[in-house]
Amino acid sequence: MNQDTSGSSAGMPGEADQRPGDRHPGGSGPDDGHPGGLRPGDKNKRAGSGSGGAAGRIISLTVCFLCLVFIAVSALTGFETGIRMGKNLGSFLLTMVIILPGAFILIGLFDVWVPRHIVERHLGEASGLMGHLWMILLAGTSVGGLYVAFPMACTLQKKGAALPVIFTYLGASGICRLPMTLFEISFMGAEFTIVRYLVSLPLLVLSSHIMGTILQKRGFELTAP
Amino acid sequence: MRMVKEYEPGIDSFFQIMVKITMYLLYILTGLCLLLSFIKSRRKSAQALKIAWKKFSRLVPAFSLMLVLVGIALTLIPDRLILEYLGGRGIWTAAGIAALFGSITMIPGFIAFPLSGILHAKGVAYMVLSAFTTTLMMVGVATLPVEQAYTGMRVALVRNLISLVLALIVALVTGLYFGELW
Repeated sequence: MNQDTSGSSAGMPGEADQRPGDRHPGGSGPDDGHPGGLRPGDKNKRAGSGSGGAAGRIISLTVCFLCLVFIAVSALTGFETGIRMGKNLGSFLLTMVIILPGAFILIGLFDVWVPRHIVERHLGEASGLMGHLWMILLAGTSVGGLYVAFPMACTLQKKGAALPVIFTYLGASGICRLPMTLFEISFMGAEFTIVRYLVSLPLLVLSSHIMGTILQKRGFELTAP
Repeated sequence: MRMVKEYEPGIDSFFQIMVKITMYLLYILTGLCLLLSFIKSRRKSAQALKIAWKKFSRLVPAFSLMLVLVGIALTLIPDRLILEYLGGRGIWTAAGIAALFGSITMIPGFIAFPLSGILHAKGVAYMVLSAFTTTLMMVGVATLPVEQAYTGMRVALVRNLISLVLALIVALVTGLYFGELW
């Protein structure tokens, strides 16, 4: 996210300033994101899979609560596996707590300042291969994993990015994040990384294109949970 | 095992430096953007923060479920043991096991790559290590709760299956490239 956003943040406010009428009228501001994003999603067959709704939320939180109880009981009784699990969970949580606020604030700023027409032009249905390349660059410079990529993908879709391009972004955020790549090169050698990139990126773009095109025809949309 | 333990302090400090640099960059960038935004328009900046908070809070239930799954996976399948046991079998079996573990667990790259490097030095094939690290990066059973909240379970499963196939192709080509299959 680093270079990409710093580059755009310099340009974006100006862009948005030139078109003050761009997003205010008709409630097309960023706030309409969830009703606008939810309604089309509800039309999908998604409801059948029973996910993401209130029930799913309650189940998730119940499982977490039980897990915390389990860890607390293990800590009290000295059950080693439970304590180890608590430690694992804690260290993972800590990393996330450090990364997430910064990443989400950047997503919020992107949502408010980047005008729709720019996203549409570069990442929309007519963007072709360049759209995929932009997304690989954006994903490569991002921090965090899928849990940052998905909210970002929602925002991009709301602003007019096409589904094939979005699937490339999601895939690429696993494949080519810069910090991971640096680790990989330093421990596995550059050849290993180059082979991986040369094989996975074209296949990713191809599969995203096929999957995205099919789903777009069916009217599929990402929804904020 | 001993070799791994000796290596660990180095990995930790390297990792800590990397994490610190990333964090500093992230927060310097975020701070600068936020400052610029506030100078331009206070109202819009407040709106941006509100959006950030809303998106974050909606992610919390699915995210905490993922944390628990990761916690369980990391506990039941200790990463060092998996990697230690990859070498002994035939290359195809080992690659299969590696891909399975890579899909299920969520070992951070800063642990997985250094260990893979050590294991390669011990004679484990690149193809096996590629199957492991590539599925680790591309296929996420533990992140399914997060993913299905955004796309629904069917699309999430299909996307992960496709990723698994891609990862296996990558591993195969890696094996071919390094001449490990003949």
